[in-house]
Amino acid sequence: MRSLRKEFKIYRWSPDYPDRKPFLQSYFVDLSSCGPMVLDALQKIKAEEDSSLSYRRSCREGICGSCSMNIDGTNTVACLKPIDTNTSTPTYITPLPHMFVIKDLVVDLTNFYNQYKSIEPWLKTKKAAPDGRENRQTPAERRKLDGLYECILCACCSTACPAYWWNPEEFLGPAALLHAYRWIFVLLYSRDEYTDERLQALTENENRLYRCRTIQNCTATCPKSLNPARAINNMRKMQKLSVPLLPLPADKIKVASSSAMI
Amino acid sequence: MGASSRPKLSGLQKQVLALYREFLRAARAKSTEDRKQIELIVSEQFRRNLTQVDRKNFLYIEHLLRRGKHQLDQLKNPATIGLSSLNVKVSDVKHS
Repeated sequence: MRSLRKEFKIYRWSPDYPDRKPFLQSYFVDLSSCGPMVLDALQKIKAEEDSSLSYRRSCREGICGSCSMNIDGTNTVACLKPIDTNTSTPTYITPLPHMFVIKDLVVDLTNFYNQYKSIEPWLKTKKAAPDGRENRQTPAERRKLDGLYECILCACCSTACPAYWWNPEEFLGPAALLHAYRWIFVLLYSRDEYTDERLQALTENENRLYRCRTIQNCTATCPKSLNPARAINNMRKMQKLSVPLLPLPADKIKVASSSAMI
Repeated sequence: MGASSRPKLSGLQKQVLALYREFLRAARAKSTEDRKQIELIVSEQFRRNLTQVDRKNFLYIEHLLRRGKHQLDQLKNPATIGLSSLNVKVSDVKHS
């Protein structure tokens, strides 16, 4: 059996040795006795070579979003990313960019989760259900949720967004905005009745939604092939259409640039 | 106004001191004996880091600040009643 030795260069930093600066450590893995995904390689390294390598992982099937990291420059979940079998170049594995590192590949995601919590991702109704039992939803209404509910909160998109890098406290980030859109738009016609309040809460502070510069890094990097950029654009469109137009004084009339949406 | 002997504190030093103050304030909300224990542990840790950690090691200081904020949030939770710490000496272990 031919042995394919693949080099992995993995980011290491430990708070237990604070005087050592972060560095890239090389590991060599025999691909013929290793599973196909990057997470399999990491497990093999941790089991056989270096058990001090730290990373988050749980489901190994791309549904929990724990193992998100930057592999060869792209943010993905390690359990869904096949190893590049070209043994002449190493694979670089680093933590999610512009996040505070707790240890090796583990980053601090509390800000990310707090932002998700801040959009209030639950059903809010003003009146009780029609026949006193459940709020019903037709299959057509349910289909509107496709592409929005699959988000696994892996943080790949938010940490790929330059606008999120420079303003992580204020800008909510593509993941939280995708979920905000899911709770605003889809339930607009079915069960949630707080649409206007949700939209207003998002847009009254111009940093929460409008820091997006349509860089589209989020859509390019999503490991579940979702489209946060489209969700953000649709929310902007909704907000612009919902604000009543006021008559401008004659000297202040400029050509208004309308953001063209798909 | 006489000449102040206090040196000008850098932003990072102010953050560390603010964290220390927050810990002591959170300790006030607990019962008396727990409060003494918390103050003891917290001040001992801060003093140890003061001497051991290099002033210029910003990476590690910021890491300690973030960890301290997490621990402070846990302490502020009314369900936590106190802190305790364990000292393990590795050098004296004898293998038979």
